[in-house]
Amino acid sequence: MSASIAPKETIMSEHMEKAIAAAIADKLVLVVEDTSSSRILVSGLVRGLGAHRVVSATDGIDALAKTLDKDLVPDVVLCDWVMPNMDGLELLTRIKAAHASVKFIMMTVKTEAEAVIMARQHGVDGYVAKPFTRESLMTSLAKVLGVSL
Amino acid sequence: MQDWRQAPVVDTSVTDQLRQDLDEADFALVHDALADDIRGRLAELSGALAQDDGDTARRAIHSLKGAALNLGHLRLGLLCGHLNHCALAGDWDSVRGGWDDLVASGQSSLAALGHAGLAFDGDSSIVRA
Repeated sequence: MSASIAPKETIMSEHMEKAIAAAIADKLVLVVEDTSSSRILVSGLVRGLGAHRVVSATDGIDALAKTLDKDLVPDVVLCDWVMPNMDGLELLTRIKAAHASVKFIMMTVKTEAEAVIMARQHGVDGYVAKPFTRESLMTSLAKVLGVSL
Repeated sequence: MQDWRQAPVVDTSVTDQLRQDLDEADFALVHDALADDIRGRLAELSGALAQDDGDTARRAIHSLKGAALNLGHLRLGLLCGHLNHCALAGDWDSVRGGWDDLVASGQSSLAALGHAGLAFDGDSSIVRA
């Protein structure tokens, strides 16, 4: 694979993997992806990292509807940017307005500076460039969960 | 960026890594889902192009690009990347011109996934499973 599309990867020690697993074990993770293979992939990887509670949604509207249930307000949102009906940026804005403590990670191919700045201005906590790997998800989750690398 | 024409259908290093990172059930499930995504997004794109619906077409290409590259379907993903670039520039002639290559790449990916390919009619505007 060419370097231009390869995701940035960080080598994680076994100790670090255990730290992330401990940090994410009791967290509710909401995966928002309109593409089913990507949704299943992210959910599977996050479960593999130690999350016991993973919920998925097909777009921003579906995600917001789920968060109306107080038992489904997530600790961490992993969200695609480009989706039909309601995109990731609008979902970010709405979720942060209702639940400021929710950690929001945007997963996207939009890696140009303007997109990153725009996401930050809307309060994004983390960023995962697509195509992603287990390592790139780990790195971003570690950051938002306060696990030092 | 690598030329999609030179790219392998599947980057097996990605597949091998996913086999380690996912449990067996999720590994099978995610690949079956990719087959559905390929069929669904190509059908969506075909319809959008027929109706000059640029937003839906762009989103279909973008989604297929991400799904393909995440699972190491490099040729399809890179071709979608090229078409996405054309679509963002408003170059719909190039997008339509790439349709046959996109169908061929989709069929190659489906074959690699062990799924039956797609059949298209002569004007490439209707997708049949």
